[in-house]
Amino acid sequence: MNSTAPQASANALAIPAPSGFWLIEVLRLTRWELYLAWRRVMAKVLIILLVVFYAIVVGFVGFALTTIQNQPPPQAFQCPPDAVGCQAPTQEQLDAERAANIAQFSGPVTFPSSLGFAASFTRIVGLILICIMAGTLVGSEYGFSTQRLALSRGTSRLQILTAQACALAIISMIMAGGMMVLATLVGVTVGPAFGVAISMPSFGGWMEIAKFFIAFSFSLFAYTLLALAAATLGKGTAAGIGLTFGVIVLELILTPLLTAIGAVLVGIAHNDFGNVLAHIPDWFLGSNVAALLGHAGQYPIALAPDPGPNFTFARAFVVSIIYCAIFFGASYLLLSRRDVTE
Amino acid sequence: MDAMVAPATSGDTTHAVEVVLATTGLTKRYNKRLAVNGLNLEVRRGDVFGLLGPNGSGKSTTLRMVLGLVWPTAGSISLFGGDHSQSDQRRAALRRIGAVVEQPAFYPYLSGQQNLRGVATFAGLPSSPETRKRVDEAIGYVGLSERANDAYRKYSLGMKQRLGIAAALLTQPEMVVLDEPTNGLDPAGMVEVRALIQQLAQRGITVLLASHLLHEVQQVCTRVAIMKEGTLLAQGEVSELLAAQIGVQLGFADPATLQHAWETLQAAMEATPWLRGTRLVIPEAGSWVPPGGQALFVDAPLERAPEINALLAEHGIFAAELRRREGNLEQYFLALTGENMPSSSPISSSIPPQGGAA
Repeated sequence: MNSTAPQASANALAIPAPSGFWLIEVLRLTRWELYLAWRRVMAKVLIILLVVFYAIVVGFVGFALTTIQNQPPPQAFQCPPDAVGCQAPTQEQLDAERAANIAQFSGPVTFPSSLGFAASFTRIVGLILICIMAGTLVGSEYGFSTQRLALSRGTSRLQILTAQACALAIISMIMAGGMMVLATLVGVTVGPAFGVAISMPSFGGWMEIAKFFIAFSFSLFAYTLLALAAATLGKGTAAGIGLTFGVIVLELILTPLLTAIGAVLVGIAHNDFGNVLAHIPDWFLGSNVAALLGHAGQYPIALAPDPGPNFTFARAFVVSIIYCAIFFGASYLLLSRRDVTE
Repeated sequence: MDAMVAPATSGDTTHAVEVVLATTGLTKRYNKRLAVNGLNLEVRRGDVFGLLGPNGSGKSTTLRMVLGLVWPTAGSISLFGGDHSQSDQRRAALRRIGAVVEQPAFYPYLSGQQNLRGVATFAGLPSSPETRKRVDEAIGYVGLSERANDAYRKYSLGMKQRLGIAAALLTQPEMVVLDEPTNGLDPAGMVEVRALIQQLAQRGITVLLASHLLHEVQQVCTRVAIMKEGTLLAQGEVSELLAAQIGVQLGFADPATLQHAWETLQAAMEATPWLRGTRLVIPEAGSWVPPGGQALFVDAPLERAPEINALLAEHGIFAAELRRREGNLEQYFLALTGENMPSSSPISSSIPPQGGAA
């Protein structure tokens, strides 16, 4: 220890008093969780991966558009030398044809439809990356034994969990918002570069974008809560990531499988069991957040490329919220009853 | 250093008997294993309280229950007068404590300074210039200023332990809980920690210390509790516990004479009220080691040494060495826990289960 430290207790620095307010402390803890996430090298790597993958996809679309733009006039429009009555297309007609082709494929790089494409992309690639982040953020607390650091200083288990959930919500919003900003930049530069006109959204359009952003963020957040529950259950990063991926893959496999089996059973036996089977995926988290996105991005721009399952907004919302409540509640139950022995 | 160790808010002598931590029937069971069994502890304000016991005796589990990390299976904890089973009271009480539990745990990818800022957040402190200054001061206090911005994973074991101590003292706690605080420290570091504990005590800060380094504990602790297999064997003032260890040590030229002397004194006990007991012991460090490696301890007032000598001489027994035996915690601990004692020693039967003051 430092023997040259001040000798007079009068020099002791006054310690700021703890706030004592539950919510204020949770906000501070949330900021700390975000700081932890940002300080991890993995966070930067995942962001770079997301942007690089998106750039690759945009690059492919750009390449396709360049190909269309530079392709020679279609053979079908060129009259054979001995043809009678054949009228070769005018340059205007060729340009219009080319413009129509470009317009057909330029959606992913033209604002505002680029937003919907970015969301679809992020709900696959981004979802994987954000679940890795969430599983790591929560699971590493067990790996590093740092939970006791907080718990032995008067922070409650519920505060820790709430702060983690808040941080994951903010991270989801940052990812969704960041991708939408990126999609906007791509949409106002790449699309117009190929001659596609962009139309500025009306007030209703901006409202749709706002709703779409919220639904988009929520669709990511719901899965990060799953990662939180999985990491808490398995007391580690591997469990947080592995179990979440397991659920995502299971949903992807079971949704078409059960639908198909159900349809076959209905066709063969005409019984209700087939119907029940076919509608089981309607209760999956993925189906319901997809329905939410579909509802949010429906009118007037139609941002959601896929309208999603045909559920009402209320039903999709309630089911999604119940999932989130189960994930959070289960995590709290586990954490509140568990001994911290690591 | 004093700047770190500010006086406890109620550290004056009028509160000397205030109980800051009391456990009643505290029990922890992990499936079939009973880790802590009906523990009744009492730590008073200003105590330097040593929790002693061999590995697996339940010391760390006890500390973890006090710190709200492990839930008791039965029993109760009262910390600063609050009921530990009530979340709000537990949280308020823990805000008044600084702790290092086993190996310090920090975020390896953050620096020491950043980790302490996190600890400040966990303690409910705002992210203000005062807090940052306090963090810098705590780091400086444990001599880590030059490495404050290095990642924690690059720290040596001793540096990690120092950072743990800095974290424990960060909020100027009224009570400091230290679990094996000298683990990984070099000899100089151990001396510094010992000095730190003494300084904390001088400031009226209560220290609860779990350790197996008995020599260290004896030097710094005012009260101790000794545990084995989750059960409290003894609890009390160090001086009171050691008083029973002070007596006369006799060394003999051969084991047969030793046995004869033991039998003679045992036989004389009924008629000799001041002769409280005899037992075989390992000679104290630095004293003569008789053939057979054992000496005879006579639990009697030191001024009775000539009479003991005479009593043996009447039976033709002559001691090769007669000396005052000082009590030490190590011997008391070993006697109580029955570890590392001569196999033929009747020692374990001569010490009551709750030997010493309770």
